[in-house]
Amino acid sequence: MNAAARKTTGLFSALFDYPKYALMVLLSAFVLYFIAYPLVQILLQSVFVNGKFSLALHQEVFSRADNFAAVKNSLIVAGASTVFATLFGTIIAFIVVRTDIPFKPAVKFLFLLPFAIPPLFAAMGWVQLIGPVGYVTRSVQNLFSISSVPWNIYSQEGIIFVMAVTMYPFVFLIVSGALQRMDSSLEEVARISGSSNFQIMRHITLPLVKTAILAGAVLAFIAAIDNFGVPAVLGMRIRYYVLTTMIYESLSIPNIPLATAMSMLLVVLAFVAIYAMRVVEGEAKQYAVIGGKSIRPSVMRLGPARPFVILFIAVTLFFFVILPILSLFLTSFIKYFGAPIAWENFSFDNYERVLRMRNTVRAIANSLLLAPMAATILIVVASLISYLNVKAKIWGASKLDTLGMVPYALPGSVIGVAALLAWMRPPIGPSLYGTIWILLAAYLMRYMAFGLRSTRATLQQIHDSLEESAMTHGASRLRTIKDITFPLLKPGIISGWILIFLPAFRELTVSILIWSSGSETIGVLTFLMQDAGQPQRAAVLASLVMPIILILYTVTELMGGSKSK
Amino acid sequence: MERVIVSDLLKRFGDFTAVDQICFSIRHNEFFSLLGPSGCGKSTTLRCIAGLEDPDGGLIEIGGRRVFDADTNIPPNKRLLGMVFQNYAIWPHMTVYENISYPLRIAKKDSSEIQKTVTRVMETLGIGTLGHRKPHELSGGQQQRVALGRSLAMEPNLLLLDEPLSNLDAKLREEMRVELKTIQERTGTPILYVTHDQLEAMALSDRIAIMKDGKILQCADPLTIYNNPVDRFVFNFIGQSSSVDCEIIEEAAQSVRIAVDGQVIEIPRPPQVPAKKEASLAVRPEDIELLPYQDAQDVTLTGQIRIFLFLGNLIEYRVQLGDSLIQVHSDKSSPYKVGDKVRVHFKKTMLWER
Repeated sequence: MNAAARKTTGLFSALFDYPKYALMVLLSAFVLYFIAYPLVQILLQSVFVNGKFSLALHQEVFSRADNFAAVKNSLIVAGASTVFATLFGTIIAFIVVRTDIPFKPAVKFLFLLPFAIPPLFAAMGWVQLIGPVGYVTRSVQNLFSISSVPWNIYSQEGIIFVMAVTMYPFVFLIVSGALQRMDSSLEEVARISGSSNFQIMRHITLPLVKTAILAGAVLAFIAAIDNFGVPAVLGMRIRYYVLTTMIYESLSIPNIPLATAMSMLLVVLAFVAIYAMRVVEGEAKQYAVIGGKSIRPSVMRLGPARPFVILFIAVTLFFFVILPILSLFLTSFIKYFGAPIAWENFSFDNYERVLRMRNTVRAIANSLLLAPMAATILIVVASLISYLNVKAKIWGASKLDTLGMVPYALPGSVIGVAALLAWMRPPIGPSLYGTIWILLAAYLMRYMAFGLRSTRATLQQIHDSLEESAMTHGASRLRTIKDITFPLLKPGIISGWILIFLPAFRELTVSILIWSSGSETIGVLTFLMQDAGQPQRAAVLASLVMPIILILYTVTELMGGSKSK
Repeated sequence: MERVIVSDLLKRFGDFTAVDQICFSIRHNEFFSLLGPSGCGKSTTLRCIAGLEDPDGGLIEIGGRRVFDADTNIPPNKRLLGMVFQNYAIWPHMTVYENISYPLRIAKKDSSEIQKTVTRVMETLGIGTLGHRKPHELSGGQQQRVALGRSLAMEPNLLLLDEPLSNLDAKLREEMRVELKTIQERTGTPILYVTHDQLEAMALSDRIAIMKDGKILQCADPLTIYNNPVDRFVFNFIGQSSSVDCEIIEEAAQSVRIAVDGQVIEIPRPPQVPAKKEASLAVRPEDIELLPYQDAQDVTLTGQIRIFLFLGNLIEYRVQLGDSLIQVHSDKSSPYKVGDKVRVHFKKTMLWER
């Protein structure tokens, strides 16, 4: 900058410079306290035992058989479910984007629905369907006059199955996005040169979307090792542990150092996965064909195969998406679990009972307090950081943005443990342990990245010239923000808010590690009920919450559609 | 009276000097263009004058007021300027009326006055009926006019236009050129116009400043620049031209003898004659006359027609002269065909160092 003494005579500089830097200080304090501090804490505590640098904790993780088993199981379960999820997700992506099936928007929406539903609910629903006394189980037993079915949902395979069915939307979303944006002229040339549909798919399309498939697979993998609800419901009762459930167990002893060490392991796994994805993306840069001039992807006519494909889509949609939800509702209404499905066995009794329980009301109230609070605080902070980063282009703000994005890559269990370590004995302020506020602090850390991403994206879409032309024509910086930037930012803020509210509202993985009596959330309570052998109460809670989730999710989809998560 | 004065304007981005101490001024009611290739510094200069960039040195005066120097830096919203951006920058969440009236609302003008002004501006620009439309309902040309209207509404000291026509198709661009010129004459507002399109700059401007690498090479009216370019770059940049290698044999007061492709001819002495023997003969297509091969005169060269293009109002030939192909414009009734040998007569030429 011009070193010459420059008296800032204009309102522009004077009014903005001062608050601009004050704002930066406040925002930095926020990010450092809620994000950097817990991360540093968990990192330090995992390698410093009794004040000395040591890897003893990590050794313990690998030396004890059950700990090591947890690591192995995490990899097996995540790996296998990712394979299936990728296969399924890719196939339906092709079918939905590239063939001439009907009702595409609806089909796409429905296939993405599992995004909105907590995997815990899905696990519950599947237990109710194909568990030992599940609806499907009993029907099959009656139908074939057998006393037991050949499958058991409480098993490693059960976990893999439910995870695959919950995680495939990651792959579906990314692959269908890539297929949509692909330059159709590449395939058209192949067609002119004589290739059949299938050959084009195999030789041209598939290789070109390879990166998208891999990217989706990595996301699914990360979500799988991160997940608590599914292995908790399906694995703990047969003492089959993965890293997330092991961390939960060790915290209930409590063996915090062990939990810390295992969290770091989770982090390493997640980072390896992300790194692998970066490498793949880098190699694929040379193929940059996505984003060509051609707008619509070429649609393949299915011909005689069409009815079969439609049937396939309908069946998979029904089985994987709709049925688990239906079974949850069913279970919530039925008088007792195991009762035959007949009109007289349905009632609202369960609902009455559950809603009258004090901890239900408390849990709902807690979630309704925490989620909007987290969303509001984060959206405000994120908007400010993003504005300073994208529009005012302050160097420090981009660093804050980067820092705020870090927890996004971390598994939820890690955030839970970090929150515990950080706010049991914080440097400033009282201990948050045992209160509801530790949950809020953890949510702030967890979802900061969501807020940053949506506000950043929206601001980037508002071309600089829109603000500049206001300033040229007489408006001060503040006036410009009020008249131009903010109205254009509003839709992004609203959808960003919902995008934080939704997951925070139904959250389980983080909350289960740091809750205490009185601060249960909906996710925590639902899990506890299911775990205590009260599937119906759990189903009631899930059924109460699901309409809210689904409505909000639909609203977000209608507003902006799902950009890649 | 100078409405805008720019003196020793300097702007650096790190090690790169985008604007290298340039000086120019714009008079009242003048259409002034900054013309040059990408990266020459013309947009940066414009943005410095607008106050959207902070220069590293120099001074800027607008309407008699010092808006920038070592002690002063008046923010953009206080400089009383109007600006039309390349992408129009019309606010999508406001109607046409709200867009155009915005500067007046900021200036807290009385609402009846605002309405009178905006209506008048919209009528002038032919968009009088579009008041409550939203930008996405307008065509490119209409959006362009809204952007113009917005910048004219407050009767600015200076109107800044940053390549405003580059997003329009050819026909619309021609129409808008005429309109811009008309508006400027009617309102008397001085215009600073930035473009890389030399045809546009010549058609519209009272004066042009040709920029390259942050410096102004020549600043004059279009005719002067066209006929008396200060150097080779300006000559090549403005209008069309072709060049042929030659050797200077003899210089005289009124003429020069040169050798082209083994043939010796005499040409009128151009404004500049290079010192070295090896030179480049540069000529505009309309300054070349083609004569039938049979007319043997010693002031002409021999060439062969290689390419024939019928452009409607004239014919363009590419004529082979030695190793070069030169571009020639002839009347639309010119009789030569591809393969014909012709005599080439230069009516006006330039000589540059090779």
